Amino acid sequence: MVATIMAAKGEVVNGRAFTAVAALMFVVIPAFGVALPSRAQDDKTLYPRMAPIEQYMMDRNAEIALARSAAPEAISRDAEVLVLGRHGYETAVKGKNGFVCVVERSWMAPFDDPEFLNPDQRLPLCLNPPAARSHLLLTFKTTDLALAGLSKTQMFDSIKSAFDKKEMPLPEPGAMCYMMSKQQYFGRKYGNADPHLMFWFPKTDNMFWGAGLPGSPVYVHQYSPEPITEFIISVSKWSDGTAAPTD
Amino acid sequence: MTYKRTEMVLAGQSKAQIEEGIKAFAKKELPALEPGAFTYMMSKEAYLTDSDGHNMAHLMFYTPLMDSAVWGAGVDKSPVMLNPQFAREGIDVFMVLTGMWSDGTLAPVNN
Repeated sequence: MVATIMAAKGEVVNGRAFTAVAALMFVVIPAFGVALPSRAQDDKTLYPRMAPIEQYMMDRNAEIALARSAAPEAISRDAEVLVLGRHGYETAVKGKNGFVCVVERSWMAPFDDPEFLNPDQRLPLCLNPPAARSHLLLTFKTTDLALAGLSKTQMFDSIKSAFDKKEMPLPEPGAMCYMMSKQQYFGRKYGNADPHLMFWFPKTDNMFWGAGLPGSPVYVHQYSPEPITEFIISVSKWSDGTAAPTD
Repeated sequence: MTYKRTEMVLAGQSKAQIEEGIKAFAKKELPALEPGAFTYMMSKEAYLTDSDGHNMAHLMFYTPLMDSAVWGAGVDKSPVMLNPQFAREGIDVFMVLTGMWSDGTLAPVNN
């Protein structure tokens, strides 16, 4: 996996990769179920089904280190750390500060993302306490569905139903996470992207934040089918304090 | 808050009078904080403090008073800081450093 990530790093030409991700989300998400852009249609069969589970697994210690790298050490050293097991996430390290660090896999990408189910994708994040109490349950639910071998359509329907029936919580006020790992890997197209923070809200159409405008460090992602709006704030440094690409 | 503070300053009130006035205003007249309230502060020409640098490119998020640790604010290498400037009004201000001015040029970031 490390070799895969390092090889992919070489494909990242600059720090605008994340901008591209966000821009793609902005365009694609509202279109889900209506009409996808042609590029997405071209790419959507890249990973039509789950790869063997082994391809999504990591060495336990490497996964703990990667999860912690999502946030500055001052936060992640006292966080709970989860690792992916064959039947879902397991607690590898108990925490003391209410944060939870976890490496999400590609089934947490938007359903119409061409990288959905890409076994190489590694998305470490450290969720703050309000997010750990609410948004993390979506990670658990989606992971359970993926590991159970459900199709993308079945997963979509199951998650939609869970939110429709209010079995899944909406983001708590103040729910946010750190995503500042230099080793994060969004897939072969977007590589390591940029370090950023993400803030989650119950779906809103009237919260603008200037997202997606030229020069703004703010991006927005409307989840689907989850009634969740995500604001993404690019920051200039990785969790280890080193500068991220800026061009 | 901006209007009220400005009004009291321009009226020539003392710092103590302003503090008392703000307390009363926050109790009786200040509207409830809306979810997602935030501002851009990315001007290269801003002058925030007499301290070194004088300025810092950032976004500010307004929340009810909360434990700053909930956002991981103020710890080593975190891009998030708690600004207590509106604590008397019952509002926390979380600042996120952007590392970039509004014109797209790089801004210094000293955690």
